[in-house]
Amino acid sequence: MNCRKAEKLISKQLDSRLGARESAWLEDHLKHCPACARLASDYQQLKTMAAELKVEAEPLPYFSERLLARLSSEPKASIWAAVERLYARAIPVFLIMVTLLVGVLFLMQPAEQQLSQSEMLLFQNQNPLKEMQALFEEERPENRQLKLLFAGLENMESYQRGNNER
Amino acid sequence: MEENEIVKLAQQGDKEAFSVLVRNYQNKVFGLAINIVRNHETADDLAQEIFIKAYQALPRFRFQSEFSTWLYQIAINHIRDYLRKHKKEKNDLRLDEIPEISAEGKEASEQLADSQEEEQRKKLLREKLEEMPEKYRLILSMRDIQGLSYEEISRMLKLSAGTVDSRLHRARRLLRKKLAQALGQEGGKR
Repeated sequence: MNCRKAEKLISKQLDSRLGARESAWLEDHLKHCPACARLASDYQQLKTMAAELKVEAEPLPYFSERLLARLSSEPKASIWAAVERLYARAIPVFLIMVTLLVGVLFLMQPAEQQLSQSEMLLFQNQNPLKEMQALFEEERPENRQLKLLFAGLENMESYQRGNNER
Repeated sequence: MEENEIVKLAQQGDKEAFSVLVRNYQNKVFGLAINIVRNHETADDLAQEIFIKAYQALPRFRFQSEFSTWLYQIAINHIRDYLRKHKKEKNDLRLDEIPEISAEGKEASEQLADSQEEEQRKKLLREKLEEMPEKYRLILSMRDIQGLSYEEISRMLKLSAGTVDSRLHRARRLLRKKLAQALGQEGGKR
């Protein structure tokens, strides 16, 4: 852990970006850690070598003249570049619109309808008439007898009407 | 005339004003390019393309930053695009390519051998730099080769100082590892 921290500080030290406390800590660590001391020396050597790679050169002759000539021949702004720019702008707009549309559709969904008891039974693949039948069967015997009595009376009335007609 | 006035004139299509800006910044833009691509002709082409892009984008420059910062951002983005497109390509003609020295030559002069060794190390360093991912290559070139300040790098790459720190650290670590491997040494202690 200390060596990992030391390596980060070594890199910062190369750029003179260490505070006094960090600098003191690193100095102390390097005294006791030969591997990190070697690392510090490697990094310093690398930085020196990299600085030696710097190329101090000027552009080829007539740079600005060549550039102005190119600018005169270049079309001011290509149509494709404009189309590309439009596309680049259209993509996020399109994504926002799709998100909004999905949100609106989600919110506008009709509320879930309350199913009637019969529908619930049908939904559960059961026969709703079965229940009615059970209710009917559960009816009290006196009610059933009354129903039979009324049915008998109706039959008698229809019989008498038939005789009268003759 | 103040730079902003020249920029305003260039924005209105004054090519003479634009050429003043080009002359003021051509060496810096070219320097950025050549220290990354390390080839004179390629760097010259890149610098030309960077100024063309800047000219076309000039109407959109709103003076919210220095003109130089804006221009260098265009330059860095263009060079980055170039590196991405030419990842696998190697420049065959280098500005600082060192010709091979024969074995007899090496024996002939110790001084020459020393300088050759140094050149070999530099060549190896250049090769390893080219193998680095583009973001590490850019930051190493800007900081360790060209010696740009943290502030300049932060502005050009639009990164915080902390991110510059950590990216530089990772880049140096990777470069050291690559060099150690190439030199057949222990690949770092971690």
